Amino acid sequence: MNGQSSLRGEVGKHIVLLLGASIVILPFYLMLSFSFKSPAEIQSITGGFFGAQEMMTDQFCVKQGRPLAECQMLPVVYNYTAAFREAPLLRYLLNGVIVTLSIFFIQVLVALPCAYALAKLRFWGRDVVFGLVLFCLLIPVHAIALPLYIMLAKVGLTNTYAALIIPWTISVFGIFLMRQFFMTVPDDLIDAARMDGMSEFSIVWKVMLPTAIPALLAFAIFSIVAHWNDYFWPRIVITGDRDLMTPPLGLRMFKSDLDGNEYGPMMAAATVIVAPLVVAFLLAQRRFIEGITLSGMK
Amino acid sequence: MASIRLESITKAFGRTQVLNGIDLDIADGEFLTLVGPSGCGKSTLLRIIAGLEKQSGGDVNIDGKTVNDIRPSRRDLAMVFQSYALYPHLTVRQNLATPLQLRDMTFTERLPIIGRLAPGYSGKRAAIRDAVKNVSDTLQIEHLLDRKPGQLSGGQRQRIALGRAMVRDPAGFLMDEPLSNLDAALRVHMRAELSALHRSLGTTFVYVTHDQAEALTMSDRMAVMMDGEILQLGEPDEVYQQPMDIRVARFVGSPQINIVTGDMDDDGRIAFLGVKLARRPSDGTTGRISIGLRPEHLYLHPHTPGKTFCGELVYKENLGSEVFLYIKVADTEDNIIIRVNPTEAQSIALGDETHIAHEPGKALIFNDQGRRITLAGSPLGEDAA
Ligand SMILES: Nc1ncnc2c1ncn2[C@@H]1O[C@H](COP(=O)(O)OP(=O)(O)OP(=O)(O)O)[C@@H](O)[C@H]1O
Ligand SMILES: [Mg+2]
Repeated sequence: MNGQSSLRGEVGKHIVLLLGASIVILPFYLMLSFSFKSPAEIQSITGGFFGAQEMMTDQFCVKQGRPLAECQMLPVVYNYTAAFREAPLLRYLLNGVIVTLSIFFIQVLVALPCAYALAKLRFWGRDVVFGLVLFCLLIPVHAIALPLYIMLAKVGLTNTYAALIIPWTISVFGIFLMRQFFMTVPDDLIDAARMDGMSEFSIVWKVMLPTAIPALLAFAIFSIVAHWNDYFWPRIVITGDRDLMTPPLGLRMFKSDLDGNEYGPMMAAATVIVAPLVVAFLLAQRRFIEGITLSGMK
Repeated sequence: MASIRLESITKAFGRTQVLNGIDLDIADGEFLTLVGPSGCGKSTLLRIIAGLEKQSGGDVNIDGKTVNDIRPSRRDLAMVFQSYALYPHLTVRQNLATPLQLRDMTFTERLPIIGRLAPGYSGKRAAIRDAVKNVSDTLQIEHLLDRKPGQLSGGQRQRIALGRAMVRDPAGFLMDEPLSNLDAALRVHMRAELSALHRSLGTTFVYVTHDQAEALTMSDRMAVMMDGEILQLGEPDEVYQQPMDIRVARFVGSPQINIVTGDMDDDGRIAFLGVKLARRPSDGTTGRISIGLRPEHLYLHPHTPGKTFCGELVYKENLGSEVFLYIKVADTEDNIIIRVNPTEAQSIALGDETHIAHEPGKALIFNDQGRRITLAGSPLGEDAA
């Protein structure tokens, strides 16, 4: 009786979870599937996940006047070659890497000393400053986008990497997160470092940073995902110069370049753009979870 | 080697006064213990000596030099923390080497690869390696050198923390309850070891503890602190036998000293629980007084008016070699504790009425402010009374 009802409960739980999971996964599934299929299959929604992979003719290739035989190819090959041909995808990816890593690096550079000061140093007005940090967490980026844009435009930085990076270098969330973590580091450890002769800056980089790796990883995932996927800000400060476009922005340009029916290459481009994030997360996931359990066990 | 001298040190955190004018002279090579109940300001005082906390007033002198504005690392003192405070991400070897690297190597020499190119690099490296080796030999921790602190037991971590303090060969050691996280047996063992270490190093030790047993067993002198003041400073025996304040008497000694209230008549004769003392105060105090009687100075005695008081045995605490009897005496709040030997203890049972006498001359008298009153006259008279 009891076993029966608990089994039913388990089944119910899994049905709900599966439903949730499929809602989340469905768009990804379609994206991946469309990136494999021919236009006809996409239109008629046939061919299952991979499509039949029948040879198709690349119209672009024919227009260039090459022999027909050379222009026959598998839909999957067509989609991905078209994606890379139509847009400098690698350039976008590179830009994405440069921008997100620079942002993260500078954010850490700023956030760690700030968090250390807020968590471990006693100075007049510390609580007020921390209150301001919390307050800044409430400000939506969209609200300050216009003044930020005007400031950047005034100093002539629009359409540069700097415009993509500078506004994000001070992460209040990062400061807040690291401060909360530093609060758990025992004061004695810092005092011991002071007795050993470390300066306050050495303490931040040589004592606090190594102990804060798990928290830093969590912050890295947050920061990198947010800025890799950011569409809003690059759209504002990058106007025209394709060489500076980040992946999401490039994706949009891509859409407007092709005629509306070319879902295959578009989805191929989208797949290429999300792939690094997914791979990075899968790689970091283990460490990430390890880190969290580690810090929980202390 | 260093003598440490504190002159009217005060400390306030905001509006709470934590230390009120501490004067303390610590001789070169001395083992001085700061002991007192939790929250009395021991750690704060130690941190002021170390330079980790800035005093609100007063001076800290080390070897005759005022060090008020000198950074902790430049005071040539090493500190052992209650939580050990080892760097969790470094191996034991690196933990031991860090203080030396920071003291002896320049900034460029400490850089990862460029450092190797600096002229004095290899010599300094070798010196540090030797120092780490010496210390790990002394403390017998060679086999732990390549582990991280997380892979060590509490006792092992404690040794490493000690090693990290020793490796710099400092002029003085400051220790803040270094044994309080260890189990009872290990604590007793480490007490002996720390004493031996102190003798062999001959360095000044300032040792903070709230455990009076540690203070009594290890120190050359102990300072009993309470409410931000040093109530008494002296050799352990002296503090135990001649406490100058009722709070010191209560704090030092286990089980606690028995305190009973007594009266003094106009003539200056002291009486408590029907017992009269022969000695009288040397000054002219009168009024309410408290009498302190250590458990070992009380014994079972046949009923004798004017000499014994009586009560009912409520509890026997058997420690094997000795037995503490808890006796409920009318008119006293707490049970009176007396120490007897096991055979004596067998002669009486719970609920029995017992008569107790005290060793003449051992009663400690405190006035209504809790200050000790010295008595004059022959204690032997108490026997006769
Ligand atoms: N940073 C601080 N801010 C405010 N008050 C403090 C601070 N540090 C210590 N205190 C207060 O000062 C008093 C003395 O603290 P201290 O740590 O010196 O006590 P302690 O004698 O070492 O006690 P324990 O035996 O529990 O370690 C306590 O009442 C404590 O609350
Ligand atoms: Mg303390």
